[in-house]
Amino acid sequence: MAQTLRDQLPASGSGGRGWVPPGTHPDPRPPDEADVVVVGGGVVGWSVAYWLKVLEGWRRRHGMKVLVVERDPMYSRASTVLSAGGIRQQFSLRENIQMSRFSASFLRDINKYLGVPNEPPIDIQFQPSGYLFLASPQNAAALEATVKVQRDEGAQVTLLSPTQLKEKFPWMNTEDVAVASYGLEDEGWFDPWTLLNAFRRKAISLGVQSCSGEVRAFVTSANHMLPSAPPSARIRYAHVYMPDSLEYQPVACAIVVNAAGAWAGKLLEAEGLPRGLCQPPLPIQPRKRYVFTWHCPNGPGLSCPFVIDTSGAYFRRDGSAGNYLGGMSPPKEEEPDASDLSVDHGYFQEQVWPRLARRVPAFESLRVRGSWAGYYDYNTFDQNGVLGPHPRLENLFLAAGFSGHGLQHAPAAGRAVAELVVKGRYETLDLRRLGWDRLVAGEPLQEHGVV
Amino acid sequence: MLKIIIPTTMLLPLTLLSPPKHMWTNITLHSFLIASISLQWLTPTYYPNKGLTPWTSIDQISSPLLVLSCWLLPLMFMASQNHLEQEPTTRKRIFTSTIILAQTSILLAFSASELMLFYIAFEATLIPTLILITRWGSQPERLNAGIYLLFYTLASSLPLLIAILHLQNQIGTLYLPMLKLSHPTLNNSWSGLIASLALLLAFMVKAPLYGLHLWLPKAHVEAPIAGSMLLAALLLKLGGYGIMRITILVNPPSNNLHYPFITLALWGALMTSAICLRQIDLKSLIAYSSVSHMGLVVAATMIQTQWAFSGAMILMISHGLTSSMLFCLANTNYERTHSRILLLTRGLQPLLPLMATWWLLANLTNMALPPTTNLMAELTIVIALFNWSSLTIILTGTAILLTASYTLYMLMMTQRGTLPSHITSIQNSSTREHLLMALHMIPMMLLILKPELISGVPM
Repeated sequence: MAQTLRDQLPASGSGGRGWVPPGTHPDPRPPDEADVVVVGGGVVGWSVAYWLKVLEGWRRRHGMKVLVVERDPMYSRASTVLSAGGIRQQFSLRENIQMSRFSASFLRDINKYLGVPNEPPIDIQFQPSGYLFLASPQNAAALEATVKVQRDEGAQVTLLSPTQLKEKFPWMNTEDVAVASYGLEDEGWFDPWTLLNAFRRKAISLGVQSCSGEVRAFVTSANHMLPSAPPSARIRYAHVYMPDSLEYQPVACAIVVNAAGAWAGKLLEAEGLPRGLCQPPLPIQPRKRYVFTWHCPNGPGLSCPFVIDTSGAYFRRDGSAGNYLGGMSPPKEEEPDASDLSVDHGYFQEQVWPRLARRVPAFESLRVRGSWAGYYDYNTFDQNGVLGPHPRLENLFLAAGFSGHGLQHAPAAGRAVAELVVKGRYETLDLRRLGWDRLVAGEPLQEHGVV
Repeated sequence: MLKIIIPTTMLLPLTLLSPPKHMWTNITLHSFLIASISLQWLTPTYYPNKGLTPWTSIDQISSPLLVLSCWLLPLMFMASQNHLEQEPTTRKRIFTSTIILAQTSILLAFSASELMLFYIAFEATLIPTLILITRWGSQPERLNAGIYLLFYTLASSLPLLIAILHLQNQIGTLYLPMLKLSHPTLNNSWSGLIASLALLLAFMVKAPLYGLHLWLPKAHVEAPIAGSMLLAALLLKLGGYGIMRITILVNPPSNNLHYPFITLALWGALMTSAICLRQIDLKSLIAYSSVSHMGLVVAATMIQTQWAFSGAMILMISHGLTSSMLFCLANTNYERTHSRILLLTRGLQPLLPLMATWWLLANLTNMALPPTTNLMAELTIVIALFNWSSLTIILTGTAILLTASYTLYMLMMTQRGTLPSHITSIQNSSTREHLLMALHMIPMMLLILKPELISGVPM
């Protein structure tokens, strides 16, 4: 009978909040005001929110009001959860290597950073199998030069000759390989969904608020000024639109962080931002990339690293039962249409499989299990992240455009932006070269290791 | 008295019927006129009460507070102009009407010569304040703040109502001049003790006393600027003023009753000053500093000596002006950056140097720098307390030290330090803001020259 009586009561809301009146919207509404609005609830956005609270110090519970706005609580198109989840230090740009090393040490001690008391410990299922870059004779010198830079920065990378490769990985066909670089430590892959949830759980326990909605418009101080072009403007309100509705909440904010990933460029074209101040436009576009999974019983074993072939195709082991996943970034002329996430299965049959089968003879017989597509937040200018304050909009910070490395750089990028906000300058990693100035001056910082 | 009350009441039709273009000008100008007329209350007189009627009277304790409330009305209007700019005209009119209603109730409360009228006006100030906080505050926490304010004040003032009615029954009158002449005493029994507790508790909550102060940081932080000024400068003084009026009625149980109040007040002054050093929110810091200063006022009024009353009066007036000015300064920051967090609104001196001067002056008066009246008040209170008991000097001395440290902390954090990375160009300080600060500062400077006006001594 007690059960019957209990069933009569309306289902209570989440334990912390207590009773909510029936008929209220289940997702939390955006507040009227927040000190920092982080647009985008992917791993970079939650990382920024987490580090903001951590760097605030002992006052965190009652300090800044940080609001993370995510328009898709199911994360159906977010790059974070559709990522292959790799982390490597094998980049050619020093800042990228430093960011990855920071993230690797962060992930090593993840329970120290993101552990919440009385909650189960976090297991990101890190597979430390390393990355293996294969270089053809034309690219051998460049690879050796980048390995030298990586070693300078402290990454544990070694160069392997074809004979050493054959010895280490007998399943590989080493024709056309002049030299290979193999990461020995802090490289591999992990579960991005766990990392995202860990950041979210810890940030919420530190007092970060989140709401679902889409930021489609801003109100800046330039709206009140005379039409003569102001040199700079402040964002005063961010209009957060409710899902599937025309209702919006103007959130008064002191700082806006653009962590919108693939749509970071589109956010800066939002209504209300003065056109003259948003030049040059942020060159970040969504680029669709396919990932295919297959089963091959006789394939490479547990020692299989994340292999990037001379042709650009890549694959890695997925679990221990003979499953693999991989893909290839298409050349610029053949970019797939990024308006939806449908997969072109012919791409695997025609482009990826032949290359992989040439490199790993065992892959000649395989069974495709599935596939998905995700977006790279592709920086068309120089394929590197843009971090730091906007030159003209005073209180807008950017953390986007990582072109496929967003997940592995998320802890470092989050900490960098948080240091800018709380301390006023970069302290742990000096990432000034990744700022907006290079876009304005037109000087690309090329990264040669974009997979 | 009527020449102030009637024009203040007529400000209501003025705001409701003014053409929108002239509304702010009309209101501010007319309230300035009322403020200048109210200065005549400060003139010396042979009579114990000026303008004595069966309902209102003005004596040396009420006149400074009445002049302060008339002076702050135009300043409240000036401070609210910016954040109300976006609102439709009707809402602006309702806002100003709410403030005017609060103003009439406060004028009645300070000038009431009958305890029942005082009680009614005391309660009546609550409703416009509640409306200001819950309707025009900007965070969702304002609902919580309104509930705290309402229920703390109501719960403590219902016993006051009962005690006043009981007194009316016993003594036959509640007319203050009569009570001063007849000095009614309560029994030294349990019922007398409870009666005096009931009489004092409402004002202790309002003042506020340290243990009953939880409503204050919430209400001050969530209120719009006019609400914060109203609360800090005027409503808190209702508590102090009420204690001063009531103390003639609570002898002799107060001989034992004052101990917990003085202890809590002095300890609270120390504790809240220490809490100020840990605050992140600027308005919350200023709110706790109000609790600290009013703690000294409560302690002084409880020992009931001439010097203590005089010190409490000067402190109430100077704190009213200083605290109101600090809230206005915090509001100028908030209107520009939309954030009250100290971490995000710091290093502003290079960006707004003129406002930095006002920040400096306000903070100097807050930490009782000589020769300001704040110092005269604090010294008088400290000496009076020392005379009552030598050990209090430890508590008051530490409180003054902590006051200076958190005030300097606030000054350094907001004006100097690392430049914020998200504020490179900021809207310049407008003339209205400078005028606002100047009108706060000028009375404080002038009163240094003649503090007898506000010292509550019969002139």
